[in-house]
Amino acid sequence: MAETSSKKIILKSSDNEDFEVDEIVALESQTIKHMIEDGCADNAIPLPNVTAKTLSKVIEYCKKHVDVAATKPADASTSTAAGVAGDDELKKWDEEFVKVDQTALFDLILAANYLDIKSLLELTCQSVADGIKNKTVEEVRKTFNITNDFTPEEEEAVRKENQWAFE
Amino acid sequence: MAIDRISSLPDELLINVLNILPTKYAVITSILSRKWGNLFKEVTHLDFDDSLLFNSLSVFDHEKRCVSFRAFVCKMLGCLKLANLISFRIRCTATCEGCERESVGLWLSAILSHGIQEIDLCIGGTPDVFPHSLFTCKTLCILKLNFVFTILNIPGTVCLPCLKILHLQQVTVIDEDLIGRIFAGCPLLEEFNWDSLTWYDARQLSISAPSLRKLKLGDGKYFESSVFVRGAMDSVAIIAPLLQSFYYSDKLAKSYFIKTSNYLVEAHVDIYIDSCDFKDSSLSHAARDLIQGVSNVKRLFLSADGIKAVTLVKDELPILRNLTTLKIGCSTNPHLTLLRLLGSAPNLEELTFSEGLFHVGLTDKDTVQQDYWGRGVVPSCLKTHLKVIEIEHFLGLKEELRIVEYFLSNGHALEQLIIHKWMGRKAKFKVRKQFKRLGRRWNKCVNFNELFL
Repeated sequence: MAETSSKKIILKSSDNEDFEVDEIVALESQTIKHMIEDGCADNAIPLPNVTAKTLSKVIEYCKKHVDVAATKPADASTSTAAGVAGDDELKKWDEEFVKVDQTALFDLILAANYLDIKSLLELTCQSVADGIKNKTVEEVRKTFNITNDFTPEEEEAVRKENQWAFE
Repeated sequence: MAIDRISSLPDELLINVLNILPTKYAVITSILSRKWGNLFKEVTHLDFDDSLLFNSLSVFDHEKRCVSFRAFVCKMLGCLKLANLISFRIRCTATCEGCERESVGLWLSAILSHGIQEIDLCIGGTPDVFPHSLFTCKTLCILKLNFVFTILNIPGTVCLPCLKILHLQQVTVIDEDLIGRIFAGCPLLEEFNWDSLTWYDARQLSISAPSLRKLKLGDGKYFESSVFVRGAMDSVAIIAPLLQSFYYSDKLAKSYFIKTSNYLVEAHVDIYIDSCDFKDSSLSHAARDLIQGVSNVKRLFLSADGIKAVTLVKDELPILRNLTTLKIGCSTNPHLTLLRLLGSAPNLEELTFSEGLFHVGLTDKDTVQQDYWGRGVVPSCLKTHLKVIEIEHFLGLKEELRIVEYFLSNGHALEQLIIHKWMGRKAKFKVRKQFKRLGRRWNKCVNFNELFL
């Protein structure tokens, strides 16, 4: 049932912790994929921009997506109902996965961006977008602790320029 | 202390987030802080929805809404670098006669001269005022049209060399040639969804699509369209060698020519037949040709009416050699058709009665004992391949138990029989007791799932 190739890759976090993962999981990251292809992966792959805490979350994500892809029937693409059903389950898992505090969420976004994991980046950005959608400006500021550094005149000017959005 | 981490994200990531938002919210971020002031002008995905724009305006102030919406879109298009625009989505349900369509025409002209890849229009109005460049755009990959029940009419050539996905929703087509012209002009088309097939006012449908992987004709709501009910088409021809997924919901046509290949993975057949058509013997060939066209399929779903179509076939059914999964709805016809189907599917592994064996509400008095469950050749798949049978809405009728008994005694390869009990039924029935007498071995593979409805 398992893939015959179980080559392991070691990923080193910024705080010097080593994570051993199956190569196929590591390949979810385009950045790591290029590093492996360029032959930089004989020893541990250093990831100076990702802490151990975030890296372990990222690995959890990649592993789940690789596992689900492996158990799908070979012909279940996004075109078929069977493919879609598997995707629905994964979607639910993704929704739970991304229910983390803001700090963790932004760490995940940066990590997904640096490691070039498209689906994780989309997932985390969607989560942030959900925090902005259907909210007033004040609510958004509060949610994300954004300081309003406009002078009252500046703010008025911007508001006026884009008033068509505020109606 | 609460820190503002979001603003310290690189601009490109923030723009990523803004691209996901409906455009109204993207613009609102301009007020958050200085950093955000001009970010919204860098978005590459636009999403306009007029239902979002009317917070303060009265619902009945129709004209004011139109004016306001139009102004919004114009302003936004003026802010952006149109050359970077990738996706344009617009939902405009509050239309003023004429004015809205003209504006949309102008907006599209502005966008189409650059490298737009995705256009999603949900707007009342004929495309007569739309620029012809909408149908000759060299970069367009995804096109979704929802014209709220008006006619799709494309007078000139259709040439969309990059188009992969085309969706037609609530769109009326009266020109028989149009579909052929669309497919001729979209050689790379992989996905075609035509939800509003009932609104196709022509007698023939011809689809020849060398790259098509997913085809959806109709949306299962045929019976609900009371405004316009088209009669059966004379002919339906589909040539799609790479087709993987086929969804078909319409009235049974008078003839079919469907050519697919072993790429076909799943088919969903939901055919409607008028009761008077059952006497029409020519439909026997039509039904057979329809099944023949999808005979390569691995997973087949037949609605209750789809089974009626199979019942019409007088000759032998085509062999469904690759079929491993069969799901069927609940037909008012007896189960003879099912046995015929099983007989044509030698490699069937999974059988699901998605709506149960009998309609909810039937009692033992209503269900006549059918002889064919006892006599006749047992379908070969039961002896060799059928591993799982799943029955929804199990009512506890005597006839149901006979059928289950039939499967248990003849299903030599059977590993699991899953029963979903219909709890809506008042009278309690001792299903377990009845199964017990079938023998200990079989109790191991029978699995009860009690759904509380």
